[in-house]
Amino acid sequence: MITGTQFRGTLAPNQTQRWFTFNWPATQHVIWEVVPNTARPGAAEVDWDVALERADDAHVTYWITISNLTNASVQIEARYAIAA
Amino acid sequence: MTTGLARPRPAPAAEGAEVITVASGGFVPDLLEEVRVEPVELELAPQAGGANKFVDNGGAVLQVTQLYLIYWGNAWTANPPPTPTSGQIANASRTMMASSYLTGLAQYRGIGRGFLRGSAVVTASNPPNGFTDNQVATFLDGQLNAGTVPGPDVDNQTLYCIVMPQGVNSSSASFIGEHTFYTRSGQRIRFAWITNNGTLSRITTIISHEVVEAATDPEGSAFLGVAGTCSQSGWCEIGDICSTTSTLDGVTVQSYWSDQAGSCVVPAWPARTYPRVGVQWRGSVPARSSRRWFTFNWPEWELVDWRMLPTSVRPGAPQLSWRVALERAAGNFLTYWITVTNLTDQDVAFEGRYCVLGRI
Repeated sequence: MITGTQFRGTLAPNQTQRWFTFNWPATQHVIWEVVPNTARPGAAEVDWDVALERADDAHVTYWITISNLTNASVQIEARYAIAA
Repeated sequence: MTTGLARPRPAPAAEGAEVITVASGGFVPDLLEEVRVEPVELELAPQAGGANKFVDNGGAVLQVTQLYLIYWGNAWTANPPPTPTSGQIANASRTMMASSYLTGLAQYRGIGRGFLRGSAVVTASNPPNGFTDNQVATFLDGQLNAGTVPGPDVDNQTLYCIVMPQGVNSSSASFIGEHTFYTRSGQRIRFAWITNNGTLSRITTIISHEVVEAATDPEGSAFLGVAGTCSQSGWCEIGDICSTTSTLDGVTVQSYWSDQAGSCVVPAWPARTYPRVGVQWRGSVPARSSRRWFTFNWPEWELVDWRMLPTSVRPGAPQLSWRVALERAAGNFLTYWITVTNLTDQDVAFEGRYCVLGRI
């Protein structure tokens, strides 16, 4: 399985932001996970939603909406695994 | 705000599809109930026994080190280029930060891996031969003021590492690398400098040494050796009593002291198979309500996918939806917060299943 980190960013307190990443082969099964790089124990820091766009016959664009669930800035990284 | 990023992937091996359950409209979940789930997969590290050589003095640590390399001097843009080049050092450092090297720091307050935040070549000045810590700090401060180097990240986990041209040495000739800090507008700026003998393996050895020491003791107030641990003066840190090197993913790194193992270590990845599936917990959700579980101590270097599988058989309509949120409890450890919503008018029992997809 191929894994990696696609992008990193920072979310302001309670901010929701959307990223898109494109030119992914449409035939791939990609799973996304957004991990906080801000270590802050005690509560959930981020959640995320993934939406898909079929950009052309061969490619898709992933739209990833990430929410900071806390009252402080949170640094994040978006990780992927290509299952097949 | 939308940000665009692109990275083409290799051709797929097979087609795949994922069905995402979406909660039906017009339904307001009940108050969430948090349920703690003991870790299934947590592994206990072997204990060597005996007293620890290093103790936690409670000062700051870098939970997720963001390494920023600064190449100081016009030698870095010379033609022909120096050996090694700045690009080779950056690539090796990126590999090292993503490798298993830093995973052994989890024993020290949960410190985790970091990453290479970026790098810059600064040719506007040259480091003096026989430089001092103060001169390096002044140089770095000037770059921060000028904006040629970005400021610390919002969590101040950035470690600036100034890489010297070959042949430029410290005023303390016996020191080939050092990490320390200075205060800038009330904020601690953590930095290191390393010397350069013209070989990549030597440079990455020194960088690795400074990274593990800065992570566990950026200001001389966290993990320090007990009396008699080090023979040198100054901060006695976990890299100071280890001198062996090893190669990880093609990069030469220096070992560091593990109190857990009772020896100098260069951690390797544990032998694990991927993908790996299991049931983390079993539970139930009352009709038309939501409950939240959390499961902790998952290593940050694995990627986990979650499925909430109903065990109450009831054909004809979706029964459950779920949302996953993440907490970085410490640099090395993630806590998954999973909210499960019952979409039906009857209680639903389920299994919380995980699939560890692979290592990141």
